[in-house]
Amino acid sequence: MRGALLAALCVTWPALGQSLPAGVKLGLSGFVQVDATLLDQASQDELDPASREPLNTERVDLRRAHLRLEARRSFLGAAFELDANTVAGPALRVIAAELNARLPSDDDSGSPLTMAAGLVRIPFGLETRELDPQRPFLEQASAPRALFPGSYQLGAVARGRWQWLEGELAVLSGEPSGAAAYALQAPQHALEFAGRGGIIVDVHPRVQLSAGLSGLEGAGFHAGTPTTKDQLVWRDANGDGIVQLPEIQVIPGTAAEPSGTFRRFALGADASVRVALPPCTVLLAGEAVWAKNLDRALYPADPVATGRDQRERGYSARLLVSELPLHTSLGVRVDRYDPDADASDANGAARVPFDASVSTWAFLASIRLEQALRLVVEYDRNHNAFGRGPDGAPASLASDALTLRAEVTF
Amino acid sequence: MRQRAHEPACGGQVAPGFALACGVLCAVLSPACGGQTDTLGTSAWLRVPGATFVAGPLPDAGGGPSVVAASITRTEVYPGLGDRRVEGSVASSATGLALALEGDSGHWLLPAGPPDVQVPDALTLSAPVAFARTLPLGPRTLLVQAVDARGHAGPPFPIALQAEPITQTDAALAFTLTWDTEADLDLHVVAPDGAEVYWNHIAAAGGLLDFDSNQSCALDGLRAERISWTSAPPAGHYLVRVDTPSLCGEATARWTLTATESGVVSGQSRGQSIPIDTQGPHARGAGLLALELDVP
Repeated sequence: MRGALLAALCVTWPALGQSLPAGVKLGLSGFVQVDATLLDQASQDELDPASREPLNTERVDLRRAHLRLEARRSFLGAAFELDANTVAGPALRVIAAELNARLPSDDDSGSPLTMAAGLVRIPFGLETRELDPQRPFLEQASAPRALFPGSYQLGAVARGRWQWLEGELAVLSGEPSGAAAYALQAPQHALEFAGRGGIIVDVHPRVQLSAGLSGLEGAGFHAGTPTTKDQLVWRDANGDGIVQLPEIQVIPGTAAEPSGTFRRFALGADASVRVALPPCTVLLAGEAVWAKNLDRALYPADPVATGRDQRERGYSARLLVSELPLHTSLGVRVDRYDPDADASDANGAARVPFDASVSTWAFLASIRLEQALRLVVEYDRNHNAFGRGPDGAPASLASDALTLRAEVTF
Repeated sequence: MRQRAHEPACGGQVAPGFALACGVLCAVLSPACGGQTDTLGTSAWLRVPGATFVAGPLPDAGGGPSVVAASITRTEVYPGLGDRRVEGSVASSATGLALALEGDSGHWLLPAGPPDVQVPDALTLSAPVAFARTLPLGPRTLLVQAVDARGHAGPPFPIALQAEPITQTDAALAFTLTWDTEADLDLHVVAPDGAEVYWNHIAAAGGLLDFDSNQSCALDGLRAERISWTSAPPAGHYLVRVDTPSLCGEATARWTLTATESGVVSGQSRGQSIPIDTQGPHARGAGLLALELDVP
């Protein structure tokens, strides 16, 4: 399939009046993921009261269809990747686009230093750096999805590797591609700095260890408000449908408030051990993150609005046994994300600390057929704090999910 | 000690090792777990915005805190309309509240409010409530229950309600338009003398427009309009039109127009409004001719 597409591209290029310059190498790759959610306890045949978007998630979905074109000439290169999906209706968007330089060699395996600019992957932690088709589990854990939504951001990155050391350092602008607000926009000028340094060591012919520390430092944006006019509001307090003087309230207009910025940061640590136990391979990996005011997707942080910092904590750990008979894999992942370590809630007349975290146990089984096709079934047992129990305390709303995925890479 | 969210009702406390098997079994075998759960409470007669809906009756009373007082802003309630509020106070040992209509499919849970400055040793009870369009007419009982931190519920506190029809059904002549989505539809009736009753001329020839529902897409949940004559209507030929000023973002609106004379259905028509129907003027003379009726 890839050969056919590449051939078509090479045939089309001269037809457009262009000739492929000498020394230019083209590469075409991609993948398609189709999900069938067989069970989702949170799904309803209803619309969201606020957004009017469907709440049903028990459906067939084109989760991702990526097409990546890479061009290289000597040490210079460029890559462009598109994503089509139907997660929230049909959508086509740029997922990655970068120009890069590999120094000093143009050999893929031998370049100790790569520099890239454009829409680049955020160099932080484990799952944020992991490419979608390489991730064994269906989606990222909650913490990377909240803190680094979309995993891509505009900026420049330098990636280096020397012997058993590896490192990445990025200067980023604006918000990530999956941010709840201002995605791939920059409402304020401050740059963000992110990086990861680590090791990757073969401690034994069958055991490979990698570990790293990550950090991010930047600024977030608090949107100001425009001037508002006086408003006259009627509240039918006694429900008689008749306007009475005590039920009329004047809401005075307010002066405009300026926008502002706030500091945000994250620190992370990750480690993985890969053990070859022929015929199978065992991977044990995990990461932890400690952040402040960095949630940009699930519970967006705005300390200017709330008057206090929002401290986020998260971790995930996974065990994956792959290359089992019939090219099958089995895995389990536990992850937990606390979007606000200082959250509080009413408990009678008192306010008490409140655990707002979400956590998931994910159980996975997959089989690979014909090299290119992978079938995955994953059961997610979710715990959250979205509901209320009989005692008025936060309670978990049932939201377990069972999903089947078919994936083809080319 | 941080307050930790309880486990969900469906599935309960399950060891992670059994979760995969549970999920597969739930999906294949058990409609109770595998089926969709109505966490929005859209199937219930009572709606409490911001609260958690739980299917089934109120918790059994068992030595929990009591409701000191509770009342509703007005005891007459109308199917499809909200804007009522339950107010009161509960014993200070309460941490949670449960609200339900007697005979409803479930109940609503929410936390108790802050201390009541007017009642010593009591917490406030305050909750907005709304009533579904499917609420049966007649006397109803709203039950309010207080629950303490150990989950012990107190005795339910009853509030008597009267569910009444939003419009009279025994009018001498009435044209009632209802529709199925949150669109803004308008009812126009042309009386035999040529006078037209509609949103900008709500009374003419003895007829009166009771409600202008979803006016300018300000959603009111009613999705109904009615023009009625409480006394003998003028004899002659009536023209009834359905206009669609806006679909308010909806794709379509399927409507039903019913004419009743002294409560007896004398004519009915059905149709569907689509985006093209929103074009053009929406004042006098607007709309699609939906029904003609001769009154002797």
